[in-house]
Amino acid sequence: MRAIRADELQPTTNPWAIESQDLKVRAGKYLAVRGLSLNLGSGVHGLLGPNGAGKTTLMRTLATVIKPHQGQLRLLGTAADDRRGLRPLRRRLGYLPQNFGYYPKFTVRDYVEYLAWLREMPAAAVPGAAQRVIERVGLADRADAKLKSLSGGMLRRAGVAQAIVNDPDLLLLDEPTVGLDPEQRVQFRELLREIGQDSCVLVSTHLVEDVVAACSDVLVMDQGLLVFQGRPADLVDRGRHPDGVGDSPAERGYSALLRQHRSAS
Amino acid sequence: MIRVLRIELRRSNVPVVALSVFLVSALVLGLTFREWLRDWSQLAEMTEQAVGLTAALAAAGGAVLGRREKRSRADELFAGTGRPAWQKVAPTAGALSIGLVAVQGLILAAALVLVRVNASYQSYSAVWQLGPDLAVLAGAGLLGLAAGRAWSSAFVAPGLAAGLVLVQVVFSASGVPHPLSFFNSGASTWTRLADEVVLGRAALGAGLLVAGILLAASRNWAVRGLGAGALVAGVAAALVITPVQRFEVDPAARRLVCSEGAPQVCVTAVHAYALADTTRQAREALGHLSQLPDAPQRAIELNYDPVAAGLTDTSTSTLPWDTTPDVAPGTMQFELVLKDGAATDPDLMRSMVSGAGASLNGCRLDDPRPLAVAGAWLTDAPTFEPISPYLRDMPFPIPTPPEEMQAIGAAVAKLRALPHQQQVQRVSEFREALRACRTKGLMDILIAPGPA
Amino acid sequence: MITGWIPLYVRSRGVLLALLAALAVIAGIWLLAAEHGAIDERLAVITTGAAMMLAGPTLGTFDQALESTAAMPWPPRRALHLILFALLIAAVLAGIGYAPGWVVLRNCLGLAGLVGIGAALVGVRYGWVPALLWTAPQALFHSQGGPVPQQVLFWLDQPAASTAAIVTAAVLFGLGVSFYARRGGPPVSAAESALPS
Repeated sequence: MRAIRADELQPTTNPWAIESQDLKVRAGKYLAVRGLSLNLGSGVHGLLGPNGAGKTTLMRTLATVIKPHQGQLRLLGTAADDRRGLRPLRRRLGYLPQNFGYYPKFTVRDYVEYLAWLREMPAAAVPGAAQRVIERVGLADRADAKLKSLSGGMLRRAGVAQAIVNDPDLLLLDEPTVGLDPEQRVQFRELLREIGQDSCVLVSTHLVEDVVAACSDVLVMDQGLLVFQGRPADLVDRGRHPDGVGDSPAERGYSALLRQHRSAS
Repeated sequence: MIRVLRIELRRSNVPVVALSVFLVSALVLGLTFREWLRDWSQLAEMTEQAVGLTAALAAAGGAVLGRREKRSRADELFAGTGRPAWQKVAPTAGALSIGLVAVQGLILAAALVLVRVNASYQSYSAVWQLGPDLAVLAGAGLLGLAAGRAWSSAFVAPGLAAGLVLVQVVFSASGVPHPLSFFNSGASTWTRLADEVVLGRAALGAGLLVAGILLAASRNWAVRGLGAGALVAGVAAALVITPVQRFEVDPAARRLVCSEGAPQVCVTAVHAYALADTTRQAREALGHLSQLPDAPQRAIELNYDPVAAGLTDTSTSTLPWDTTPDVAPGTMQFELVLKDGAATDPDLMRSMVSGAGASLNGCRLDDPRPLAVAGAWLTDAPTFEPISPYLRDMPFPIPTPPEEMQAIGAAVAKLRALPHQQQVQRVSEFREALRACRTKGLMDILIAPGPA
Repeated sequence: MITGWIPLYVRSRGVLLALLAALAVIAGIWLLAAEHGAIDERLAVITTGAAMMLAGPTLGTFDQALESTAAMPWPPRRALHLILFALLIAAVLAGIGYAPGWVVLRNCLGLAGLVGIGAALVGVRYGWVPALLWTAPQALFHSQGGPVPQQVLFWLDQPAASTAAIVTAAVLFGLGVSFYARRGGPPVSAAESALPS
């Protein structure tokens, strides 16, 4: 049992998990996100874009790791520059960075429990929650193996496990499917759909087919700007355009979109 | 928190650091085991040295641990979590402190128990020293942790370790005992660790500990300033409080403990564990000495105020020459040399009869041969290995060459060739000369031709 | 002219930083403690030890596994790295006047071997620990002469003529340089290999 805080009972008046207005973020001296307006609710949102589009900078901003340079950003109803609201907000975040760090000598269970503790889960709930998410990502048989002994795909799944251990209302996954084999990717999409039923999941990826298969919503970024937001089917529709190159309709739609955007700018 | 602390205790480098601290401490205390087993002052000295070395290791281990977050790029992931910075560090800092304190505490506590059981004279300042020693060790570890977090360079750990040892070497090389040195010797037989040393170390430990906690846990510059202030204050307080003379004379250690029965034999309280064998040998020596008129009826262990005698280190040859021994008539002094904590001094009887029981008179005697002649005569031996008064506690005794043994034998034979009464008279006269510090021509008194 | 792999090699291991730090220590101690152009022997020993310990972290790089796949023949480069570092430090120490040239040379090369043994056995992060643990007591309890085992134990303290010290340093140097040159470091798991040393 634990005391329930007032902010937990407070209804979320804002339907959007992510709400940004003309958001600008610097990566070093370079303006990596250049005026992004975005409203995302629950569901699985795929974030596509070429290298250097500002995806990772956006993810880091949404994960509250870096602060916006300009513009407005509200996460789960809390303004990102509200210092007192930051701590309760972070309890409801899940984040898997692109190059996610881990201590090689920790076991999978240690790692997940450690992150659960950092996300301020109630102590009594930690072991059960850790076991659940480890099973969910299919690492139950390696739960007590050290991270340094895992393969790339297993490591990535351990990373996903730590990101969802606190049942986040906003889950940010930066390239979570790197290193997963085809079967694991199918399972992973299933997992995403489950979580997306009542949380906002933002998945940054280069794999267009992952987005089409698992996401309810697609975002395409280029050069720090949002160039497209719509359903995966809309992206597929764009693939009929003669500009598109690629092996699937979605890939053709994606490349057509980027070409149009670049020729316009 | 407990769960996370357990993870850190098992999976961080704390086990490795703790093991190396254990090995170094065990090595230092193990190699010097016999020296401190019955002696609180020696134990205090050795534990200080052990802590001086392990603190460098602890700081380096802390630096490696502090660097872990950036090295493994976990900082990105951790930055998006809600725990305040100090809470994020708490399990790591806690695990490091617990590991260090547990291991070092265990070894030191075992040593304390051993000395408590084996020493005849108890002095508890070395026990109180345990707390400050552990605080210094944990504080060094936490400061290393803070340094590793602040600069995530691979050079911080070896730099810190080498720097700490370097500072200690600078103190040692300066030749003057430094209050912050962990490698001062200065314990001698009848001293105890001064309480001010314990206080000074406590101030140093508290300063290191507070500074380590604040510097490791906070990114706030005001708090870090406070941490740096605590470090400066701790060091300054230690500098002021810790006396240069770290061991003080303890009259209780010099108190005489005497045997039952006659003739009475007494040793100082520090050496009470050797009373039985000392009594046996001393009575045998007194028996030999009773061949002379005005023979001593009682024997006590030589003891003096080591500080007044300028004796700061038992291992040097600064010896209490030129101080007239303060003994009552009829009492003789003997020097008790208990090597490696043994309960017996194998040469005690011979050292007592050498010089007819009057060699520990405060005079500088350059030639021990006449003393040996008197010793041989008293014990009815053909010859006698010379014994230099006050110099029996040498680490590497030099054996006497055979021709010198022969020369002593010849001198003894010469003395024995005289009429018996003259023999007694000559040896007595030799003894009176020694007592009066007339150190020239002693051999002539014994064997020169003509009337004595 | 320095071309090709050398600048990259030097940069990938932080050799310049290590050398600068070592030079700072050597110069700092000299300015602080030298009197009449000479320095306490204990200080000379620990300064040599500290400077050579700083070579420890330079003995590895960002990605051991990646480097081991490179076509370059690593062993001679690794050996050269250790030897040159030691010679450079020795030249500086002897040049300033810390100790007679032969003593400094013997100590630096022996310590280089010790650091190499550490790096090859336990890896870069703790490779300098053996050098620390053997140098510290020699500096603190400085002891010259005595029976051979004692001279071996205190080999850094011995005068140039001591055969025991020369042999000890030579053995350490030979073992350390060849061991490090051949092995480089303990095997690193795939998951760990991309982490900096």
